[in-house]
Amino acid sequence: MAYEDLKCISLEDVPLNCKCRVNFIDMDFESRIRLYDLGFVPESVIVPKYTSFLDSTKAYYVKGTLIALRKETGSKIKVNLLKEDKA
Amino acid sequence: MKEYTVALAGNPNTGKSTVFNALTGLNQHTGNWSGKTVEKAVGKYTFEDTKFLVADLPGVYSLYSDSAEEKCAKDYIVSNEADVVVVIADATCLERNLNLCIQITDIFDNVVLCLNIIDEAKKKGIIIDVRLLSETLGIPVICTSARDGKGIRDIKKTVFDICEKNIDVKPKKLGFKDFENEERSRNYIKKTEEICSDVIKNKGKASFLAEKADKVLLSKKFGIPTVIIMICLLFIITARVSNYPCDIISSFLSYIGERFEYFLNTTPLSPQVISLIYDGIFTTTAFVVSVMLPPMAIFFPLFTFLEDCGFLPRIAFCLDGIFSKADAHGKQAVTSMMAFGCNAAAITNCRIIESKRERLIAIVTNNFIPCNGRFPLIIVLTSSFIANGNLFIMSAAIIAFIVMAIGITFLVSKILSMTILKGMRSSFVLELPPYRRPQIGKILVRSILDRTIFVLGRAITAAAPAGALIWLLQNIYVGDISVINAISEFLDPFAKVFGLNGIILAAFFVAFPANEMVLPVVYMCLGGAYAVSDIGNMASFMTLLCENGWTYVTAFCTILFSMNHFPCATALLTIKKETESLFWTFMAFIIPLFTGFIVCFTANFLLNLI
Repeated sequence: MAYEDLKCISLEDVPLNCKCRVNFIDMDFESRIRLYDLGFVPESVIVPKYTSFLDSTKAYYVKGTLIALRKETGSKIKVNLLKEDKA
Repeated sequence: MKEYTVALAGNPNTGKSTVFNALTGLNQHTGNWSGKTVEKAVGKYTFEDTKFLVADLPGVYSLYSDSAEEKCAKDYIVSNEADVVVVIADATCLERNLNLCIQITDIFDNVVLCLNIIDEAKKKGIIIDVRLLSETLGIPVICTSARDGKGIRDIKKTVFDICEKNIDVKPKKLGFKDFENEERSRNYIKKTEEICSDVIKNKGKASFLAEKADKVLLSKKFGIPTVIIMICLLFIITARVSNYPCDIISSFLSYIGERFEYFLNTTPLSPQVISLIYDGIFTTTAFVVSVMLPPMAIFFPLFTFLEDCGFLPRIAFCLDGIFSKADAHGKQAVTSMMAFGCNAAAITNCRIIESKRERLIAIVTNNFIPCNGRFPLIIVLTSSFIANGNLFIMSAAIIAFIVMAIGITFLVSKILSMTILKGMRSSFVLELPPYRRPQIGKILVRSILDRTIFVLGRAITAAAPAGALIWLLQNIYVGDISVINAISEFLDPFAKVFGLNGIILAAFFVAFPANEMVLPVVYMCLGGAYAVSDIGNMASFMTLLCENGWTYVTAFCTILFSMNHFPCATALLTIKKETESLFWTFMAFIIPLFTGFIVCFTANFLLNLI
């Protein structure tokens, strides 16, 4: 069983290969819409998969595709971690 | 004959251009890379005695963002210029692609949905209920694999039937188009999710091999080393393989040259005019073709191969960390890599960078990467003056020069972004497309054909006039010295400050139409050869240079100046075309030149201290 952590963190802080669910995007309207179009829409499930050299960019698995975002964008996407229930 | 207009719309990298080419038989450039099509392309086809005009719109994710491409696509659809809009969706990730389709059906009636790349979707085990999808949307849905030409006839037939009113398309209107901005976007996305959860019966599995490849290529540890190996292989193959065609083309052109000279001698032309045509124009053009064509015809198919496979966006991802430190865009890694082949082609490719500020940085700094035309000079002088023929030292020195070129690119990018191009770093959003099987046959035919046309075009427009100019400068005398030597003497004191000499500096200016002409012009000015193509014997060339006072400092500074000076005429014209600004064209000219003077002055000063 998976449950959702109520604490909201930034997507940038989600460890690699951990699922999370988008809560909201703390950016201007244009950037928000652009991210929605790419699949970073509230309620969608995202998995950070790879991080680039110098940690400036991460590739996220979202709606069947890998999308790379820089740190400053990832830090403005607020998410809830999806954790596996050990019980 | 009746004529209708069809528009192709879709997300980036869904194969719109491939569908466009399959429909029209044209060769619009395609690549496994989002945003290849940056402006509307137009083509034609005939079906059932009816003409169809096809407009390939730029790839967009939505109709409601503010980018130029999205406005262009939306304006075209709203203008009702098209009789039918065919929305191309990637069947392997329908949920991402369907959003645009339902936005279009909300504002336009005659819409056809084309599920492209259906063969790959099937391989991945993805099952889509096409009938249910068609019923839900209220529009015809066609499955295609445009690369293999499958389903193209179905598109033509459906479009024909809609235009001839044999089919009445009544898309289900959602009415979200009138909602407030954010509400509208979220409603469309929610509806897309709903439809997809109904029609996608099996989501399939990611390819095992692709995942393994990504684990290496996108990893923090192995990503950059893999990219470096890939780039080195690209150079080694280009250098090794191009030697053979270079020799063949050179021998062939020599044979043609002999016949041509014989023919010219049978004409009533004066010996001076014959010399101008043969020694000036023909031999210079022949030299450019034989030196430039083979590396270009090998480098670019290999580059397109990487592009087709889907490696380029991954390279951009790996190197983005470094580029972000210079406040530049990650995609600049790809345009810089392409610049090793040809600066002009790379400048055109800078269109893939969405932000204007970062695109300008990429364009202005592109010239710091030495192209095919400058490599022969770097290799010849490094081998003779720095490495003394030692292969290991030569390879290390050339790698050091390349690293230096990349370092200067970063430094100038950083300076530009802190000064005249000051501004916010744009958000870097990059889709990493699935790996795809490259279309090797098409790559070979298209790249070789494209490059041959490019090099021949350049030979006619740049090298031939340059050949005539060199001949005139060499054969018109001011007092008892030729014009070129008079210019060289005039420039000499100034050039000496930078470790060069007047002849070298004059050669760079004379070779403005084509960079590959620098060494041959130096050779001619020193009286080593009457014509450019005589530069066959490297040993005698080196002896000639040494006799004329060349030292390793001169060679080193000449290499540095070759890497850091104004772009060639073709690149400069491309910059003017791409930036539509005289100011930026001037900056692209002056910044590398100024950098070159600083670098050469410093190198000359330091080397003379040793």
